[in-house]
Order: sequence, then C-alpha cells, then structure tokens
Amino acid sequence: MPVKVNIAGERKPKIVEVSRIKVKDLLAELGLNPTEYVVLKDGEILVDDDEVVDGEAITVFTVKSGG
Amino acid sequence: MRGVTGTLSPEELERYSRQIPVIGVEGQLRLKNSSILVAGAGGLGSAVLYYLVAMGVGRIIVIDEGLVELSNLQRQILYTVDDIGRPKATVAYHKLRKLNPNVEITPVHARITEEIIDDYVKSVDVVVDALDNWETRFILDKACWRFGKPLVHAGVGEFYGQVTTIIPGKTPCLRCLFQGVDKAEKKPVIVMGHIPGLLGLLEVNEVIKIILGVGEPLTNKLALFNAKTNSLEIVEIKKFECQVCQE
Repeated sequence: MPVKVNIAGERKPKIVEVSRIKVKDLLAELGLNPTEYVVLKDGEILVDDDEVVDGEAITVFTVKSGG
Repeated sequence: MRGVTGTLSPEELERYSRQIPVIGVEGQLRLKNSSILVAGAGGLGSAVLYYLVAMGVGRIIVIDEGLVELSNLQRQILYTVDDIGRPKATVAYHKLRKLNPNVEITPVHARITEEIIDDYVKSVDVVVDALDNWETRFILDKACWRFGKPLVHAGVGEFYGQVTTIIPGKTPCLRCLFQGVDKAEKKPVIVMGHIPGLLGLLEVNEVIKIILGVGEPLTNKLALFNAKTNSLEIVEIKKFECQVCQE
C-alpha cells in the first residue's frame, strides 16, 4: 500500500508509491519546501527525519509567516 | 486573569450596549479588567488593535519597531498617507485613543528582543502574535512560556492564514508546532490586503474567548483558512515533542 498525503485545502489526497520514506524526502517528492510545511500523522507532529511507511496517511499544511 | 471588579460608567454602558446583552455587565467588566500585549502593529495588528480597543479591553501594550510606509497602506488599516514615516506604535496610539478613550494604551516603538520583552509579557493577561517573522515570534513564544501567558498566533500569506492559541503547559509551544520553519527568513509580506483583517479578527475572537471563558479556544488545534475556497479547516494536534516547552 502506498502513503496517502492529504494536503490541506486540496480536495483529493496525493498517493506516493513508496514502502518507507523520510518526511523531508516525501516533501521533496511532492515538490514542497520543508520550511513552509508542517506534517502530521494521527495528530502527531513529524519532523524531517521521521519516517512514514506504506499504508499510513499524513496531513500536510502550509504555514504562513506574514503579519 | 483578574476577577470582575469596578463598575461601568453611563458612557460605557451606552458604548457597549450592543454587546452587553450577549456577555452581561460582568463580561464587559472582565474585558475592562483585562490587559493585552499586541506584538506588531501591521496588517494583523491593525485589525486586532481596532477591535480590542472598540470592544473595551482595559489595557493594551502595542510594540512595533516599524515606521509607516506606502506599501503598508494596502492592508494596515490604522494608517493613512499622512502617517508615512511616523512610528506605527505612536500613530496607532493616537488613532485608537480617539476610538475609545476608556482604554489605557501604551505604545512601545522598539524592536522585540529577549532583553525587553519579559517586562511587557509578565504584565498582561494575554499576548497576541501579530508579527511578520519567526525569529521575533520565537522570542515572544519563549517569554510567554516563561511566564505562563496565553499566546494567540496568526500568520498570513497570499489568500491563506493560520491561527492557534498556545497555552503553556497545555499545548505545544509555537517553536515545537512550527519547528521546521526557517527562523532566519525575512522577506516582504506577500498577501492580499483583506487577509490580515480576516485572520486578525480570528485572533480577536481567541482573545475574547480566553478573557470571558466562553466557547472553545483553538488550543491544540490549528485553524487553516483558505479564502479561495472559503474553508476553515481545523487540524488537531495530539502529540508533540519539543526542546523549549518540555525541557
């Protein structure tokens, strides 16, 4: 089973065909800058070197810095 | 948070007559007895300051090191062309005093640093992050953590923004929530003019809920606003690890 990525604000999840991948590599795969996104798995904040494995679903959302 | 003390003058009773039926005289007195630090008097800060002052909080400290620039006027509704080149904190003070002279406003034209921020944070009930960079946000975040003060955060860009409320000891701090962000990054704010207004008012809503003890503040929750799709998605934070708040 692949990794399912729900990107906040987008209607359809993206499916990434990997068995195991680090968060930073997953974001790169999706073309997302890791300094602008937060990744959650089951409500837990993941950091760059955390791994996601096949069958898991994560939520990714962009963080805005302006004021 | 201080208790409910004092009274409302006839002028205040009339001024707040459209919200007293909602929150009662006791609620209005809670607002009057509250003190808020607003860090930043830009796009978010303009909306936050206008409404907190209009609604009748008791005391506000506003800190901003900036001068009013022409490129601010697209979104920073406290200022006009007459204010260009003047300190935002000072201009904000004069505008807001005219809006509601009952509110005690302390303008601070200064950069937020670890050296100066503690005295301001520890003297208020709630802190509002209306800043535009992460380096300063994390200084504020640490100070709020040290003194156990609620911190209402928002950030904006383009058509988007996020809001959350940090309660030391109950939620992750800002640093662990956004540990991946580039702290040193400083670039001009790129945002549609109305977005800081929308998100700033969501910050006001958080402050009001905290002061009045009503509703559900966004604790352990991030509200992600997408103005293009009119969506306010709430993401729940269940677990976190951090070197700042879990030391």
